[in-house]
Amino acid sequence: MKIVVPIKRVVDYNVKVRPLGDQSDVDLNNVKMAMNPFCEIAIEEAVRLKEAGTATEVIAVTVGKSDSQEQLRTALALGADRAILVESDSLLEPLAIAKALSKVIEAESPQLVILGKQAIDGDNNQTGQMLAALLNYGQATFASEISIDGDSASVTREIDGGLQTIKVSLPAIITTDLRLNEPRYASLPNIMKAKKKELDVQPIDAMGIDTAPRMELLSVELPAARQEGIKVESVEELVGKLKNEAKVIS
Amino acid sequence: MQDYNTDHPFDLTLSEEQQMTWDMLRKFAETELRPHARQVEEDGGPSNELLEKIKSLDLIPLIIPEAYGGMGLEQDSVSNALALEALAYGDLSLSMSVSVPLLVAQIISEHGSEEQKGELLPKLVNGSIFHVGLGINNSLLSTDPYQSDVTAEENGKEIILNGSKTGVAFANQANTFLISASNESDECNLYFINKDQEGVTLEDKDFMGLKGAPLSQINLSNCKINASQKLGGHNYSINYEALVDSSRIGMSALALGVCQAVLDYVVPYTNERVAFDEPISNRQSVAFMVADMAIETEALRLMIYKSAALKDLGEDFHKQASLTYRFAAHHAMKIGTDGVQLLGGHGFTHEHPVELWYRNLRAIGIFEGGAGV
Repeated sequence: MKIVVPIKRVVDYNVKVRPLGDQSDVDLNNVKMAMNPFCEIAIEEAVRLKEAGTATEVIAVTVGKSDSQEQLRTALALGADRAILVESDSLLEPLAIAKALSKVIEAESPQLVILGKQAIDGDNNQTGQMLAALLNYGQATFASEISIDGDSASVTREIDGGLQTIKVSLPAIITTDLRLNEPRYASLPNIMKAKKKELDVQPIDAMGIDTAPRMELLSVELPAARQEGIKVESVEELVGKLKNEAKVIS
Repeated sequence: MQDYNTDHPFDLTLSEEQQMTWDMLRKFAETELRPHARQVEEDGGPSNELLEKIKSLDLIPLIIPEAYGGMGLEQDSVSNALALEALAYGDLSLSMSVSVPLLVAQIISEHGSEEQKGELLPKLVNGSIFHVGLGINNSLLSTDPYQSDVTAEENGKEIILNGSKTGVAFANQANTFLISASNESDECNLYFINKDQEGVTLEDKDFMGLKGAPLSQINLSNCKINASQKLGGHNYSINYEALVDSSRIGMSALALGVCQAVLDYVVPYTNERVAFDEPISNRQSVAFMVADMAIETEALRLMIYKSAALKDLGEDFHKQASLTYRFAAHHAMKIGTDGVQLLGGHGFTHEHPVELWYRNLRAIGIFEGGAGV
């Protein structure tokens, strides 16, 4: 079984982002970039399926600028067998990314596509679903448990107030939630080996897809600074303030 | 005379592998090592579970030659220093539980005789041996670092060792020790000793820091070993000065990781801690202290990577390594104590890690190498 894992290069989760001076976008100058944490979970799951003998090949794919190769190398160090970069000079919206991914998936024809439920930069939570629609594949989103059984997958999903287990026919799109697994650290020998693995670069322009943006970013602002808390003298005072000032109780 | 050789400028751009290794080890240090630092200190060493996680990074098999089951990817000094800095950012004691076995594996790979390599390297690869007590420090901590106060009388087939080594990390968990000793002609070499050999006693010592990397004293009294137990074989002599110098670069890199941890801890603290209606970082006495810390940390970084780069270029790095270690010893202690000071009363409590870092950094000024690469 072949598994394709689309991943994304995002700002490292430890970085406190700021808007650019003109508020036109987030300031990405000299900011540490990393693989989106949900994508790490997707890679980990695919690699575990390979280690368990269920999968035979894991292919990491990303759509982005040339520097996204760094994250593909990380995916290779974590255990992916080869990688594909669909190179684009501009930042793309989820629909354009899904279209590019669908072209790669059509060419590779994997039995399973595992990707993060969302990326921590735009928090769009759209690519997986759009990809399923474009390919006309079944989808199982927010997976916290995956088991493959012949030509179908049983996926436990995290939904409001509980868990739901569904069965999807393969090929299918699965998006990963936080609790699916705990990604490993790449061992040093695997980091060294990653450089020797195949990394194919395909220009997005050759794919014949419409990548024009559907949205316009108007401005990016920091959230309003939170006001400093106060200390109250007594329970009565607290209840009074909750009633009359915060108006959260009556 | 300024001796900067413009033919050999050093380049601080990381290779792709170095960057990936750095990112991975830094994350490992922050999420797997630092949260356990207190527990490890209390327990006097990492739990088996934590040690297994550390072993799974496969740092040691990486550098062992393929003929002995390793990957044969010799790490250059810059990569080594980067790895140690990244790990020490989590915890100094825990990073020593990697750095000491790593240094031992490197020493044996580079200097061991065929017999010694065949005996030990496969066991280091498969993990059946992890700790080897490495004794490069002297028992009198202020003596010449390029000499050993253990003496070796080499009489043909037999060698008699006398003296003590102190501050040998994880010796209490090792069955084999690798100890430096000076012979009659004042040449310093390393010798393998088995724990149960006659004339060997181990004394556990309690130190103010590095409690998670238990340090012991090894006493040798008329300890007779076979000439083949000399590192490299009975006719071999090691470049001991270069070994100590490399070790000093490693120790400095470990110190650097902790200094960076202190700096990254005090910056948000002093910006958020409000006294007299404003963040304490608005006070010049605080701001200057933090600025000095940042300058010294960065200077130490440049000195370390210049030493490592010179070594990798095959240049003489003795002077640079000595300057670096001196700078590390002096400023790491200062950064540690300033860290405690900047947190005020909080710095003195166990609630914040700064006092632990301070106690560990204090060791850098005491020990001459031995724990690094």
